Amino acid sequence: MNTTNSHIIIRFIFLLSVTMIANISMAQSVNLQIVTKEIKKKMKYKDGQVLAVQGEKSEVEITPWEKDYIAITLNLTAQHPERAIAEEDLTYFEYKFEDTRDTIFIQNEITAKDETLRSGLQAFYVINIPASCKVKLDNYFGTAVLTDLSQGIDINSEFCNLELKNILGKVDVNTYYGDLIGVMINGEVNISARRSNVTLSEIEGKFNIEAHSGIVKVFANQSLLDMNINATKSDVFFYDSQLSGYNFNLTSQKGDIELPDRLRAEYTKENEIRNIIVKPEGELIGVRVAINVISGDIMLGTR
Amino acid sequence: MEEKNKHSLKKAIDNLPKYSPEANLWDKLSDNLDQAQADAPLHEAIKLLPTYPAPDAAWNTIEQNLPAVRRKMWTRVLAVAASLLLLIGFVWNTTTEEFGPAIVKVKHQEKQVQETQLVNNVYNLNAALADSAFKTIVRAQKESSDRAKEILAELDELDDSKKRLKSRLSKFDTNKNLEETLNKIEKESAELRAAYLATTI
Repeated sequence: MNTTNSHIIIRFIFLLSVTMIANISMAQSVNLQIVTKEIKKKMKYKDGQVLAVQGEKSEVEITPWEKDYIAITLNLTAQHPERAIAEEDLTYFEYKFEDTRDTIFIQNEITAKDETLRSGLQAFYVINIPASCKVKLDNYFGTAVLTDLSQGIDINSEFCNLELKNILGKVDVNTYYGDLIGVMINGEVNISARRSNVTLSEIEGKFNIEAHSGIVKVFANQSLLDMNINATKSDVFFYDSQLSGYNFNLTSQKGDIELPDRLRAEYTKENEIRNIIVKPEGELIGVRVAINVISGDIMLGTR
Repeated sequence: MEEKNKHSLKKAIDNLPKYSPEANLWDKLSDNLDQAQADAPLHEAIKLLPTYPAPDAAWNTIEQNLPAVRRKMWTRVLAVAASLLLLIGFVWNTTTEEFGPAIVKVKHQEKQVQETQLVNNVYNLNAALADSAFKTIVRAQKESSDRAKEILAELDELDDSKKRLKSRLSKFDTNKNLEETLNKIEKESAELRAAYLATTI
């Protein structure tokens, strides 16, 4: 092979490489046309009214403020490579604000009935409420972050990850395929989690947790008053730096129980059911924690 | 008609008080009538006189010559009334605007996203094939154990969840949380299928 031919081959290989790299880089990115409808609304609030939010494909943020009315910023977006399609699909994203005697109702929903959507649709809520306002949230296919709420919350969600921070009062959470992270929750708390992981830390008050096909992790301190966990096909982890202050009643069916050696534990086993009772040190009554798991493990640990 | 108490009536009338007119009353009445009669031609003549409208400037001059205090009082009253109207209007406007209809704006932007940022599991061919193959095996089973039935019920639930989730996802979605959930459902479905197959062996 002469020099000219080798140059041609090298040039060919170089051009081919450049073309391939260009093709790969083009294939790796997409130009999306994002059409956004921004809705701003202020609603009068009367003491005793409940804020009820019903979101679909929504990222919801709710925080209190010092003002006596409710402010809502809702962004509805549709994204697609073709702007006309994004604009048309955005019309399937409907919203509603209603004010009744007892409830301030905010809703968005996707009205398209197609099997699959052409555009990516997403809603974003930022809601500020008076401190005395109770919150009820129904959210599907999204996320929710609720912070510093002192009047309790009532949540029903599916396919929606939840973050609760600094919540006081009666807390009811029902989640399906949505992980729950709760920090600084204080009150009477009822959690029903199906196919969802639950992680709680810095908690106070009374807790009742029903879990199915998920992992429950509790990072407790002595502020906890009472806890009851019933779980199926779930592993439960309970951590505290001073486990000796608790009064544990642990039951596992078709599963294991692990706990630090130094705890005063009484073991029993009947058929496939293991039961361990751990009494607190000294004359203390201890914080009552009952964990009952079917087809799952229980683990107690220190932090 | 005969008056039955004629005497009593006469006696009462006689007891009524008696008054006399002033001495010059009748003279005064006569003089006034004479004067009205004498003025009649004058009034008739006045009616025949021509009338002329006053020029506008005359009224302005009259107004300027009115006492200053009176004019100031009117302007003050007007100023107070106008201020009140403005205040009421402002309060009404701000109140209705603050809690009025929602303010809606539509914006557009173009954004270049990497394909990896898009949800890429909406049309998962492998999962669809696995579903199809599994259903064929299930149909071939003549009898199922309780455990197998339990698994199939759970698989139905997951199938339903998967369909609902996919109905709200587009291939141009960038919601990675939902993609993770969808992958989780696929994984759980695969595990359940394996568990079911184990019951058939």
